[in-house]
Amino acid sequence: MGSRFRPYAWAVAVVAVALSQVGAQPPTLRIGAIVPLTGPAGVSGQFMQKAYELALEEVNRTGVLGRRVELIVENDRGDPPTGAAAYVKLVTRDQVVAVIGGLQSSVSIAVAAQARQRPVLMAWTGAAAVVVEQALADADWFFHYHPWQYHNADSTYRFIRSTGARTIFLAYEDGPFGSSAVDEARAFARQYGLEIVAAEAFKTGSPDLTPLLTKARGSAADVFLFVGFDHDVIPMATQARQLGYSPKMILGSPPSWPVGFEKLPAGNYITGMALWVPSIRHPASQRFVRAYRERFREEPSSYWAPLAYTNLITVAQAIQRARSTELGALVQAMRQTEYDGPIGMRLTFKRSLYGRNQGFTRLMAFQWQNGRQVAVWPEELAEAKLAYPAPWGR
Amino acid sequence: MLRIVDLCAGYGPLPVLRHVSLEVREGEVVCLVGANGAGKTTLLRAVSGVVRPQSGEVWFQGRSLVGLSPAAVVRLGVSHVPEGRHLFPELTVRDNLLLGAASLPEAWRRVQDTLQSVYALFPRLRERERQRAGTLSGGEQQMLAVGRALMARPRLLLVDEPSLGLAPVVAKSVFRALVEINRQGTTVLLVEQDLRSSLRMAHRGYVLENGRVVRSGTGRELLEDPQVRAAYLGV
Amino acid sequence: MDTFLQVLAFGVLRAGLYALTSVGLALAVGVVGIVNFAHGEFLMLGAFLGYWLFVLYHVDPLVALPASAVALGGLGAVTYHVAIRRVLQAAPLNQTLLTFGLSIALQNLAVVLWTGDNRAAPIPYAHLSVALGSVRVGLPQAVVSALAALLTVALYLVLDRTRTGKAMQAVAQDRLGASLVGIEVDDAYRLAFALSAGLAGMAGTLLVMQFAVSPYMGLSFTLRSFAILVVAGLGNVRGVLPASVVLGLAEAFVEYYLPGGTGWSEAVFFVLIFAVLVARPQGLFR
Ligand SMILES: Nc1ncnc2c1ncn2[C@@H]1O[C@H](COP(=O)(O)OP(=O)(O)OP(=O)(O)O)[C@@H](O)[C@H]1O
Ligand SMILES: [Mg+2]
Repeated sequence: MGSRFRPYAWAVAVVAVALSQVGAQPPTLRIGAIVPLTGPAGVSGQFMQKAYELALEEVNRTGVLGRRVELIVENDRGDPPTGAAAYVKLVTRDQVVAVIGGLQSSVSIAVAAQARQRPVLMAWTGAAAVVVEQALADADWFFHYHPWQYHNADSTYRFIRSTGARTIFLAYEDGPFGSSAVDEARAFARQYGLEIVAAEAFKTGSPDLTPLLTKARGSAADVFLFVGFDHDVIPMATQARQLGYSPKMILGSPPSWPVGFEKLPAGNYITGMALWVPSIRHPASQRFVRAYRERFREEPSSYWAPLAYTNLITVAQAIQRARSTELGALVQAMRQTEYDGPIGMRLTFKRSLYGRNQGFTRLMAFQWQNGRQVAVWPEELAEAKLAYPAPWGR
Repeated sequence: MLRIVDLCAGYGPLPVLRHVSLEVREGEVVCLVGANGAGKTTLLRAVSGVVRPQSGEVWFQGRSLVGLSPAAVVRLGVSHVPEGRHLFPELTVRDNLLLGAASLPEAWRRVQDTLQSVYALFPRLRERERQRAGTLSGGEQQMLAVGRALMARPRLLLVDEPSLGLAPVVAKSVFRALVEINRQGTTVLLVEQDLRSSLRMAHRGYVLENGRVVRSGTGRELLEDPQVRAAYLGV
Repeated sequence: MDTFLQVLAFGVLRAGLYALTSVGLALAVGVVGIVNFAHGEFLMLGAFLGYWLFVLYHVDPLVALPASAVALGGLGAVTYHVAIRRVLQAAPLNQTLLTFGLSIALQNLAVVLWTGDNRAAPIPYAHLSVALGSVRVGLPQAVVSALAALLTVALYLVLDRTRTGKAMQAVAQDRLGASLVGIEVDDAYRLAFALSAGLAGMAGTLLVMQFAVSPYMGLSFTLRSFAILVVAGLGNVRGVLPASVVLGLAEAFVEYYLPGGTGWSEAVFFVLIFAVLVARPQGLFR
């Protein structure tokens, strides 16, 4: 046989081996995940991907319905059309029984439009924007894990109330992220007996926040509530210390915190809200952190890791419970979820403002204390007490 | 001193100069005349390295200038006073002059002497020393352009239409200066529209037509040539 | 009165930052005539250099300045040689596309190398301040402003007092004229571009003291620099300092004295650009 034919011979051999494998095992159970592995949210997405890997190993130790689970991860790059195309591909070509994942609101909206046309079980981690909730208001096959914007706000003001603070100076970035936070701020504050003495917008990325901080100091509010992105937190913290601005609490809730923020002297005693931090006092969380560390030799420093882990585990459990991959049965089984996982709060699905199946509805609070994110609220998860008033500069 | 052999040059694929040959000897004033668009400016540019020749040779004191950058040509002793002057409008007269020598170590060493001799030649420039070049009158700008070229202490000066846009009196004074420069030892290749004054001061001249040399001779011969008179002097 | 002085100080410090991040761009625009959209990415690379030197080897950003000047200066020279030089005669749109493409390429390279994370360098003195009478001045801001003044004035001196600087001005004002007096135009451009990138690099390294370092950090500084260039007069290196002061003070006063003014600082900026372009297109300071 001439060398010209050798590649074909190889191809035939490979196909033959592949076919024999298919014949030998029951078909795998396919689940699709849409995650931004690159782009602005790529870092969070990679935490998710690793946590999925961890969860998948665990699930496949026993299998689901006697079958092996295969997870097909699609990178949406933070780009809505890419996310929408990924959904269509997963549902039509890969014939997945469920689509999981999800992070950004813009991508979620694009995926939602496709999902309405070809619904499968959609167990969605991401998006806090209420427009996503509204877009899928009557979809009983849509299960949402992350708290919505108003849940975040509710937790934030409830936490502030728990400290004994009365007055708030609200600084918010003037894009969609900050503006959505300010919309409901007054109503929530009133509900918890708090007063927002002033609300001031700033431009994200602005290098100099000193006039803003000086105004805040002039207001003498108990709490400086800062709704900006991770790159805004650094000048805020640094310049507050430069000016000697010492409110009882500085509370920031960027979507993520800058790498190395824990080492920033000016960051000490700044407080934040999150769905989860590694330090919470909870056995499942501690188990997860250990397993993640062992497997990947790094800290699961983003809450997207335990959230994704929870996501895949609970979907696998629901399929097992349903004893079927039929959509109606899956939805019923998902509704029965009661999961005490690494997030530290029990996961169940209930009606929310617009949606049918809402998972987590509460954030927790932490304080940067000597280089660590220390869980301080709610009490059952707290690792240490909130330093309040913050002993700035000590 | 300068020998051009069979030179072809142009812009892009279009030829402007077609097989031009001419010579400038040490100490001469040679005048290049011709109608608008004949290729006079292109010829000077080909010598000074602004335009790269397509073929042919350019020799200056036994060295080929083909392929050299304008800066390299200046370093060899050929200064070009370009059409349109190309001064540095935001800089002072003095700075313009100093820049004429600043990039040439040889000339820079004697910059003060040269500056004084340029001022001697054009006293107006000394008066306007601190003025920005862009605010000078046309005649003053032309003086500055010539002066700046002289700062390089060139052995050959290429001058492109120094009288353009100047009143006859002013033009005359520029020509007088060129004669003086030549008297002091600098060879001059002059392009001019003003045939009468230029050919009168030139030792020799060439007539360029459509990129070809169609006539050459002493200044007087060309001035008296009936065809030249008919074509360029309207006589 | 005290507050007024304090806000004045905020404005002046901010002006220092703006001048530092813009003066290199003004040089590239002024001498080479290239609107370099990748200026912010040079700044970003300088910041990463400063960040890694600090995090890995505990080199203070101030000590790292010469290194970033040399590294980014070198990168600027190489960039000029392999890319910019080839589009000098091209249409402005092509030049824009080239530098824009370069900006995106460098940004993506940084993402590949260092991820898109925002990073904080824990500089021990970043949060300190000095009191001048009743006015408090952040230490890093004071350092940045002092260095901004120093580097800008040094650049002016180089341009005005040295033969090389004069040659750069000459090239900027008349390319052909410059080549005819013996200036190697290409060398002058390369030098100006390298200086421009080197200044961006130093600015970036200094930013490490105050801000998050990320592949995307350059853009907001590039945008502000363009505003300053317009106010100064495009390509007018000398106008950068006064234009920065105008912008810095205007922003600080609007932000402090206008109710809800912090969100208006961007508007100050665009109103200023708009007013200058309409009323005095050659710039306020020329
Ligand atoms: N940069 C250029 N690109 C293309 N063509 C050019 C360029 N410069 C000159 N030309 C053309 O080359 C030809 C010769 O031009 P040149 O400037 O050499 O003429 P000239 O003899 O100096 O004319 P004038 O007396 O009007 O100055 C003209 O047809 C002109 O249009
Ligand atoms: Mg001409």
